[in-house]
Amino acid sequence: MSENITNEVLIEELQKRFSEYQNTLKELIKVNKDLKDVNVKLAESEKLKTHFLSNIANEIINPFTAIIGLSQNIIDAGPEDFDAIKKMSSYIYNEASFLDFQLKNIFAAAEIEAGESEPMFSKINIIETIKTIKDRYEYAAKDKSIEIIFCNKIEQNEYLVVSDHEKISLIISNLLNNAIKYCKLNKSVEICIYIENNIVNISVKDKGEGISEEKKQQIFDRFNRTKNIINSEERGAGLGLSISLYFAELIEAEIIFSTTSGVGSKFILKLNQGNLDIESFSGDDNQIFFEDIETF
Amino acid sequence: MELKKHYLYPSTIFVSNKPYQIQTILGSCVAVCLWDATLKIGGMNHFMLPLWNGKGLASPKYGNIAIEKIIQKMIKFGSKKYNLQAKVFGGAEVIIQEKVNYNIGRRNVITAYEILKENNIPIISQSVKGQLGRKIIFITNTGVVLHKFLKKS
Repeated sequence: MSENITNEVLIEELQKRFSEYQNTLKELIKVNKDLKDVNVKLAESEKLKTHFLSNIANEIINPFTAIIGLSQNIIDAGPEDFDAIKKMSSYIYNEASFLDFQLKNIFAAAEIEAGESEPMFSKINIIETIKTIKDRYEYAAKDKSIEIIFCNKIEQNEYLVVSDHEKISLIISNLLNNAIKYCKLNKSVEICIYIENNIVNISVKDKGEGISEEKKQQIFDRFNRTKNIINSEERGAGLGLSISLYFAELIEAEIIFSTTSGVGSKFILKLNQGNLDIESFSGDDNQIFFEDIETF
Repeated sequence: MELKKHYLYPSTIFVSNKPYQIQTILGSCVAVCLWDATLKIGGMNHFMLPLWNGKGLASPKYGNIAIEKIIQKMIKFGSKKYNLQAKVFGGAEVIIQEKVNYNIGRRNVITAYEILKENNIPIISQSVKGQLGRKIIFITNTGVVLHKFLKKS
């Protein structure tokens, strides 16, 4: 056998194998690099988690302290302080709404990470949903003299979609909360709804600093914020966008964003209207096995 | 007796100490069914990608997290790790909307094998890879899994 092999064939075979090894090596180098990146990410994630825990205590305690203090003032106030009482009540409303929002985010993240977050589809009036959320953020916006503009390009007061109300609400709340948080003082935040190619688009636009090139990749990571947590005056746990992205995937929606440095950012939630004919959707179909069943 | 049903969504985990029919549909995703023959309880996960890369939330969308979490949940319901047995399904190379998920199915299966091995959990039966999606029902009090291939439409 072996004497049949010519030098040419041998060299050819050797070259072939050599190039295969080369390719394997290249792949290995790439995999190694990926591994290193992941390692760095994981280490970062652990660090951020520690920050998160110390940070979140303040995020919860501060609003409570404010609420307790303000309600004490209201109790002590006399009938002549009506205007002051009204103002303090609005502060309480604001702090309580913020607390409610924060806790919803934390519980949502915990539920997602435990693998217990499931979609519950029903018919919802998306216009009404947006209006309710907008109302809730009016006080927070007023605080920074920001005007929230709602432009309803559907031009109806009712527009039904089949989706998960709780999850859509939390996504929109997070987008609006971020928009107000990062918007400059005395400017406006715009929330719009419009239909494009049969897709319901809900866009939230702020007039802030925009997101830097380097941060663009990280904004959906958990505990990550555009500014350093410790030195930041802005509140929040850094969970909002990672939850929003996850929920969007769960309800078969999509979140895209665009940003211009110094001008602001725009996030768009893209929803399917869903099948309005069904009363309520449940994944638990009654499709039974008729044939080809195997048991394992 | 009619068993309670649970439809398992992707990226979720379901474990109960009550008898259940856990149902799911798999393409390139993998489901690991854990079954404790001593306590006659079981659970299932359904993960979409092999490993968490530090992006987004550390959810059971990823195999390494989904398998560790389902083991923890079984232990919480009183199972001993050495009593656990696994059945593994899915990991097909399904082409969805002309988007090819390059080797995702195969990598999901490998992840399941590796992590179960690390935890010394034996795989007692399986139906993995191939080109067809699968529908499975896990009956948690008997440990039986009903399995059917989905026809290409």
